[in-house]
Amino acid sequence: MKKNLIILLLIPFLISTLTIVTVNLTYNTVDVDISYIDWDYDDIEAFKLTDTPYPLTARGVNNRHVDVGKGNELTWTVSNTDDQQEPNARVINKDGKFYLETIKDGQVEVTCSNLKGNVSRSFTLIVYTNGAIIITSRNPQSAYGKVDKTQYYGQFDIINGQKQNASFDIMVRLIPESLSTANPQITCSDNISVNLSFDNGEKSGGGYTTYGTVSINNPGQSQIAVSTDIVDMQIEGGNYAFTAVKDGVNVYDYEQLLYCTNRSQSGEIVVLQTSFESYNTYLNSGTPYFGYANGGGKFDFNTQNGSIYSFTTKYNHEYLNQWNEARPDNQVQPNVLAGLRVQKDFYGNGYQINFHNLAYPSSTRVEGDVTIPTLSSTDLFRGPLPFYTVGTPSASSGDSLNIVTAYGQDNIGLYIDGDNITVNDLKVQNCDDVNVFAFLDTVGTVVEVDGDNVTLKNMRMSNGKNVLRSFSSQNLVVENSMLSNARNFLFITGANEYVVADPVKNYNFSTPNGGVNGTIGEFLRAESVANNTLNDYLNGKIGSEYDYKTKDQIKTVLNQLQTALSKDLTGQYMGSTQIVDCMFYRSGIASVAFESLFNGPFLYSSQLPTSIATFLQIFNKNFMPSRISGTSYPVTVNVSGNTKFYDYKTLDNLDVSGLIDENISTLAQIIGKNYTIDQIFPIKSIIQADAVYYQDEQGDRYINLPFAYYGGGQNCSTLTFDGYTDNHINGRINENGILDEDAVKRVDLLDNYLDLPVVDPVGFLGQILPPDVVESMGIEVDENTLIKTVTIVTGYEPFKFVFNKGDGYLFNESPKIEELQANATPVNIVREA
Amino acid sequence: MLNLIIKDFKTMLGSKQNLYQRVATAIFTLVFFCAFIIVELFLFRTILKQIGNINGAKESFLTVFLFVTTIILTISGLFNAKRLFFDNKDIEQLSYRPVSNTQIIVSKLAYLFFIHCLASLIFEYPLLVAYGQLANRAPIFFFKCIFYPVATFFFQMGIGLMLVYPVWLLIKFLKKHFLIELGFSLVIIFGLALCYSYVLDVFIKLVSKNGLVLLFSEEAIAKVISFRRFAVPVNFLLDIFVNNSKLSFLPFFAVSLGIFGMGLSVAIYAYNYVRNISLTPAKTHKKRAYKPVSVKKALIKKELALITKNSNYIFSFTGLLIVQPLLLTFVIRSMNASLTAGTLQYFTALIPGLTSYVDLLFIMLFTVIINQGANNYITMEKRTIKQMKTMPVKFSTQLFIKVSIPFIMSMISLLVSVIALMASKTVPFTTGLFGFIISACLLFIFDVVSLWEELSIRHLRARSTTFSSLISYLLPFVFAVSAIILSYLKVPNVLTILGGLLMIVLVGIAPVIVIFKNSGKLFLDLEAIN
Repeated sequence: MKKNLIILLLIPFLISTLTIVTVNLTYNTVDVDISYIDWDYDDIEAFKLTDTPYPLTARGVNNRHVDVGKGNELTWTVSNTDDQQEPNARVINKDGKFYLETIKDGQVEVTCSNLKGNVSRSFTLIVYTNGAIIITSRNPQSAYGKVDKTQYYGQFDIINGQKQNASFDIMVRLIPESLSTANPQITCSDNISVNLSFDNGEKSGGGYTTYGTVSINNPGQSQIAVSTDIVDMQIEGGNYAFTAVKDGVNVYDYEQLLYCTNRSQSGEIVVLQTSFESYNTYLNSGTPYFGYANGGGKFDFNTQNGSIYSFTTKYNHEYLNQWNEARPDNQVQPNVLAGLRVQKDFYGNGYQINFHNLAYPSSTRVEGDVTIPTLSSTDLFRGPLPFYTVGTPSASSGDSLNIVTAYGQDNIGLYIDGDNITVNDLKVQNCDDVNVFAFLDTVGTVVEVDGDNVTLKNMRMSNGKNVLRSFSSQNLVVENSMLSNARNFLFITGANEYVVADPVKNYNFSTPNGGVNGTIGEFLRAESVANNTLNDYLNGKIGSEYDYKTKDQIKTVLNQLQTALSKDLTGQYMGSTQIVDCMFYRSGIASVAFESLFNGPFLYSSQLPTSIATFLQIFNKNFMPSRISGTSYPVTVNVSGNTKFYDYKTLDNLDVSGLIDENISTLAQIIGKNYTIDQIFPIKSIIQADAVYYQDEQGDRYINLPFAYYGGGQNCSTLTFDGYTDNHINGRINENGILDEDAVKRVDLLDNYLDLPVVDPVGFLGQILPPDVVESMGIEVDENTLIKTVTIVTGYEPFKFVFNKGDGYLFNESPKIEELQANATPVNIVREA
Repeated sequence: MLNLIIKDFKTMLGSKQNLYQRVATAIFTLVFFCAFIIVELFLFRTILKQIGNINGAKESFLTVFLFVTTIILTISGLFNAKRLFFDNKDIEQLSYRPVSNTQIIVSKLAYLFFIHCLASLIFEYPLLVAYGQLANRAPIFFFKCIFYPVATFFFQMGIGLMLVYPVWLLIKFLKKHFLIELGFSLVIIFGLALCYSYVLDVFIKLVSKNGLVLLFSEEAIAKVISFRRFAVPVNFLLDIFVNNSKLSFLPFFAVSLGIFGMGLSVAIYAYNYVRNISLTPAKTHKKRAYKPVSVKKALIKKELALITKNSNYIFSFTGLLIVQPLLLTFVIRSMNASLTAGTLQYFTALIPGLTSYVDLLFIMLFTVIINQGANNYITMEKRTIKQMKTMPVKFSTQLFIKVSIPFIMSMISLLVSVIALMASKTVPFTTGLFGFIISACLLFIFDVVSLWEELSIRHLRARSTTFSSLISYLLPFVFAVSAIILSYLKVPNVLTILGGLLMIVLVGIAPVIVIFKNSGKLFLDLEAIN
């Protein structure tokens, strides 16, 4: 008896192990670069003019200590920052070691970067013969370098939770130390005051150093200068300039950051004075980390203490509404989380905000030789909300095993919530660099814009499922910015608003048995012509022995049905974006995507086609939502200036598995079948023929896909290239900046699906479904039926793609920070509300 | 000496079963051990493959597995030693034989050594072999590990022998104090049930949220690695056997011998002491005042006393009945969680009644398996069968009372369990209701069949449990499998359950009628023992 009882008690353990799901990830590896450059130089240095070159030393650091790819060796450059034409110094490379040779007095900027040029750091160097005066803030500049060279300070500091006039510490160093006896004087612009004495400094290293405090009394351009009585010889340096931002609040720690963002009702203008890093980087560099640590590298984020901002998704969540009403015991709250809610201007000063501690899975597991990030139960960022689920929806990717989930809005790192906001020179990423983009599946969107007249300039945004998302935001300007490393798209845009199919409007449907005139609802009734049409489509019943004799005949009716589900919203833009001088670097699918809602007949009426309704009712547990989708309003994007696309990939590496969460392949594994996302959602195979390739010397073919129109519903968004000077788009752009129609590759899913043959009269579904269900579906089911079933849900408006020419332009190249710096313009500091 | 060892083997392993039953038991034991080793190795190898690349992880998981088996073997050794040293019959027999104390102790130690090595070879050596294979160890490693059981003996048995006397005293004390024993037993059973439910809950939560992978997270593995230093003595042994650390050998051997020496001293002292007190005449019991009661009442009292005042029954029946609602709720809740998560949710979607039928299966199995603890109605009488047959009470009355006491207790526990399941919303009302009705029917049939098996016990013919086993296991599984198939074919749940109930009644009704008819004859044929 005891043995039997023990066995009985062990059964739950054994049964539960059967529920384990093996998630197959696609491991498309990408090269990882160094995260930053570490060195011992101050922001401003002074080297005496000499014939002996100065050795230059620095090291590239990857904050995860992973092996970096090619092109990450460090190199040095130098350029004058004064108005001298002749170089003040130059860099010499001797046996792989770098030295700085001083040539003449003056100021230079010494820059260290990786060979790729996408990571760099600079310091100002004063080359002097007689003497130099260094004035610098005691708050070190960003280790990532600045794009906008202007140094910004806010008008206010936060002290004990109160805003007070800002002040910051400076250091003045006189070289040689004898300058301290030459009656040094400090002067400054009217809007600031400096409290500094030359009497109590300290002598060291041949110089004289003293410290003081700068108080900001009023906003505006600010100058500090130090001079001496010496007039007969040239003293270099002696100036320090910055911009005091009106109403800006300096942020030196996480509490202050939250004060200005999540905890503020209307927000504060943030002027960042430090980076907020991942815990790993903190351990390496000591830079403050993002979030409240509660020991052992774990973090505590919650809405109560304002460390996270939560809001109801603005994307279509009609499905979730209907689900929550039907299943009050198993609700999925339609809430989106954001790491920071920005409501006013944000000055990054080149510092970084890394949301890794919040956004990245906090656990890992090892499979073979791959360490895979794994969500633990306390992680908050768990993937996008479901827009529609076949099966049981869940607010977390992978938490429950759904058949198919189409995604809605994702969680966000930096959420820009409001109108007329400028975010300048901020480096932002949702996690540390990864070498597999699939690891970005649950980290969310890096920056989301939700407001009109928002400007993002001099930005570096990277490492997200999507990097930048803008829905229903007018006049977004993305200027002189770099977007890199996206699981799906570097910039995705669309509209939250949509129009549901008109239920009372009459349409004509030309069926084989004559025309049918009626509303969409009447047409979509069970046992109607539409039902038979869809069943014939799913079953491939097209030919002389069937109702539909030709593919064109059935395609006409299917298109009429899709038209009736859609509404022509051409020109009714709900969002607009100007992309100016930007760099797009490495996406999983495409650089820029125009999204429209999935809008298949099944989303309008889940009772039809009856065959699929019978099948899906089982998995939806009789929850059959209706009229949950519609036609998205269009948006427009204009690309201009020197916008560049460094987004080459082989077609094999184009990975659409991040677009939908599917477990059809898992289900198939139960009966020993292998399916891939590319069979279920065959975008890759469909665009293969129309893609524009660049072939490298080894004969490998690459695509560079800057633009994709994605979503099965009607997509009326427009793309223009007005003022685009770095044009390598495959196709002619006319004088109005409009791309020729034939340059847009249209992938008609319907054409493709109609060509799919009947594979097996029983096939996949026949093996897993009860016979009565297969019989009641009334169709023969095979794997192609299943694939076509996806279109009944998504809709079958063509997907559109715009390729770059196959000329190899920028192939194997990376965006250069230097270019961003050269192109940077400072922010207009006084912005009237 | 050899005779002494053989005697010890007979004392420990001997049974009253006939040859057929012994073979059957041996086969069952063998299959059980094989299955256990397969599961153990499967789990161990799976884990080692998962974490193979992490430095030190393989050795640490080997430590964990060996540590768990070490604890089990130490406890097992402790109870073996208790039976061996403090068996009253054995002590009595040996006291009249010309055998020296040393010989007795040595023979017992020889037995313990043999059993320990055998168990260690069965449960621990395969782990070392699996580790050696996955870690590509040289052939000498596999040979060396054969001596692992010997190396573990002194430490583990030393601990066991040190505790054997305190444990014996505790058990003796508990047996003398019914209420304390009952309370102690219940505390242990509840403690074990709560531990079980906690572990199960954690496991199911992990699994149902696809979080089993977290068991192999770097953090979890780091904890396992850090656990190694606390896993005495396995960590020292692995240093010797796996890491070839010669430095660890002598200290470990010295400590082990020291512990063994202490344990042996305690055991020898206790054995001699107990041997002496066993030979002292037992105290006379206080005479209780005679209170006349009705025959039925007296019989009920006797049956209740048999079930509740016997420590074996407390652990195998009464205690389990008390924790049944708790255990059943946790098990069914975890099963439901499993069935609605991961890949199994597809099957749940395709088979709408799957969850209900699995719930019903568990309600039935728990009910009858716990009731098995009290279904040896005649065997429990031992020498009092003669009184049963001669007392002026109708056999039907006696048998009715015998069967109905455990039956009613099981029914009460079943009722409370079902109410708990429904109140905690673990099962819906219909499942709870039908679970009660079907389980009650099954229990009734099972008890009647068990009575028949008990009445059929004859000299040289032990009880055959074939029929009652078929009733208790096969019938619930047939019911559940048939119901699942019918559910897959979309037969309504209520019809399926009523059909299942009908099946159970039809299967059970014939033997019940036959047994009722023949029970009188069977009772008369019972053989009394003098």
